[in-house]
Amino acid sequence: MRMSLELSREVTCIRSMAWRCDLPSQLNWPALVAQMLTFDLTQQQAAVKGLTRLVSPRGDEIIFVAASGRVQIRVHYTVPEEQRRFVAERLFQHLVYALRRI
Amino acid sequence: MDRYLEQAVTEVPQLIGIFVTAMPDALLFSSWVREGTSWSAEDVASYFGDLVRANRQGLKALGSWSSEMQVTIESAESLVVLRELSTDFVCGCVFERTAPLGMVRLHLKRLLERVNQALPRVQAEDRPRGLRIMEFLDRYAPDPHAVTLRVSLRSGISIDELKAPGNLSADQIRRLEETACKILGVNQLSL
Amino acid sequence: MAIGDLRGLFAEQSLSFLAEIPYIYHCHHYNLFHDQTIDDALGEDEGARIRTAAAHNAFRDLLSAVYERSGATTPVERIALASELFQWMGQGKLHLDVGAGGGRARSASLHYGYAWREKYGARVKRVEPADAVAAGFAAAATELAFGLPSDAIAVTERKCVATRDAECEFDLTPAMGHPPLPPVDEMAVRRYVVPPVRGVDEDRIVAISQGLVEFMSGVQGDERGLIAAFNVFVTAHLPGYYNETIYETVHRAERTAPSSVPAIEALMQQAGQACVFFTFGNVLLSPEWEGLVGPPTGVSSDVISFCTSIARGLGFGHWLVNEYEPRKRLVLQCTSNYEVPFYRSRYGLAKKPRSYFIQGAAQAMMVLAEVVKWKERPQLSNDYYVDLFRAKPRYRVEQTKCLMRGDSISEYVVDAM
Repeated sequence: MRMSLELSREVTCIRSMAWRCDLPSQLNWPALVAQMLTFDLTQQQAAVKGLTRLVSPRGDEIIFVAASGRVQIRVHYTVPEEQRRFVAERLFQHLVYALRRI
Repeated sequence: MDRYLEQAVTEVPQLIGIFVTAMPDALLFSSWVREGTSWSAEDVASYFGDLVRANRQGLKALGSWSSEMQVTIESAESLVVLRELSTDFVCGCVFERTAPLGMVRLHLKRLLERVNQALPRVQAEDRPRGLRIMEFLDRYAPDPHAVTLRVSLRSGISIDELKAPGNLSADQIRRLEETACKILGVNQLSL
Repeated sequence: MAIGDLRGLFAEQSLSFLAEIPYIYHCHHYNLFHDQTIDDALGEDEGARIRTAAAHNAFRDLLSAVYERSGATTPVERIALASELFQWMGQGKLHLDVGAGGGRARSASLHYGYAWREKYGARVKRVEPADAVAAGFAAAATELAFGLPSDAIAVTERKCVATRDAECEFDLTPAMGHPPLPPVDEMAVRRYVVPPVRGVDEDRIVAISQGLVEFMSGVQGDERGLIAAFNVFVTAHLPGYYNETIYETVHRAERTAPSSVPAIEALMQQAGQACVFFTFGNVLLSPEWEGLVGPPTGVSSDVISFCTSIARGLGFGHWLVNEYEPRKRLVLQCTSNYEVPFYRSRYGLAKKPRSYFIQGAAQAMMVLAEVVKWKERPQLSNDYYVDLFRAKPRYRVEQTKCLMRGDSISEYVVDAM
């Protein structure tokens, strides 16, 4: 499957904390999650049905909304603002690698 | 002037924006930004003007100010160069972060010469201090949409009077300035 | 006993309780603006005094009720439970080192100081500490742990993260006690609601708000005692704090500086606007909302219904849409809210409508519904907020009925200008 990926800054109340990219909704989500877990991420229960929540040891989160293909990357608030973008890009990189493997 | 800027920037591929700020009020005089850029030219020009003024005062305090000074800021996404063109105008140029510094200097020299030639020679108007304080607050107060109400409460100056800050009395201007300092957390305003 | 087990819900009025003391959720944008307004009106010293006293009173009521239900009797149990509760509420993690004669408290992560530094720290240099809520809490916790009367402990915050200290630090010292006022608890709240009324799109609003209540039941402070949710810092907070600070400030201004009252009321309305724009707006754009309800539709009547659901989900009371005409008019009503029981219990009937928060919220709901382009992924940033609300006003609001005044319902009419 060909897809183009772009990481963009999302609603930014706590500055540069939330980032977004969109994937095709017909993706093999369980396979993607399995690949993501090979990075230093753990799957935790999402508060709402239909969401998948992956969490880094520091508390950064990646949320998948399978129905729409939306991916939200939430950098933990303890990361200094000027480093948040880089943390988001690092998590985005994991996502790209995981997608290439499925 | 805007059209003149457009012509002046055509040969500078890595330029993202240029802002000419009229001093001493740090108001936008003219600007050009690359298509697809959503900056507020008024805001950027004002901040650049204030930045150059603060830099000038800082260097004067160090005894090392000269009219040729230039401020260069290397941020994560851009390279910003600020230059005082005259006592009346400041020019701020924003380049792509990847632009080589040598190339930036070369383009900047030509660009500033062309901009300088196009600028009018002006006699700065001595604008009322009350007006300048309110404009300063509008730029820097943390909640600018609420600043008039906040100033009114803290200074005891009515909202109607604050709508015409050029007409405030000396005592009201003193209270306004104290309030502005309090809201901004500074000892004095750099106007 | 887990803190969550102390929760109670007056479901048909969308009001929540902890050990029968009302609580709600508010974000840091609202909290900081609220406190700032109190200080603008009264000055820093008196503002901090009023805010600390209100937090002291509110947390005394809450902690007393929690201790009674949990059976915590010894100082050690009570201090531990108080700290756990404060952390659970997203107010921060506060270390209390106190005895009957006072002591010290400290924290590197308190909601107010931390959020102030995050929101304003790069723009403004703050001189005064920001954590009156934690200060009042620390004093109340100390008094109740050692069986001291109300106001037997005074508290001063002498270092604060918001003033660029590494930690917030509080000194607690003995003071003169005085008899406490009766708490505004669930029994009092039930006295000042009127039977719920169905509004426009009621079934959908009920279903969504139930989902949100369930979602919020899982929200609690992390290891630092903070809650980062919906891209804001959220707190479970005490209406007693908001109400005492607002109404003491307004009443004092009415007595001593009546010309300043319109500005105070307008700023209190703006706090409501900030709440709707930032909290409601970020909820609507969150993946959680997408999972619960779906992606934004961009239909203005949906936004009005969704905002009403969110208000109920956050425990603001039974808000309902009485009438909505796109781009022209919104009539919002409440059969209950978190302001009325406090006002009626403490002050009796109001002479005029006084739900400033909902006045501003109703106005902002109209702006969110009509102006924000939901399908274009709007950036709900501070700059966008300032642009929206600094521009020439598009809508005016009038509160035409008020339960505080003894009317049969509270009603807020928003009209296009």
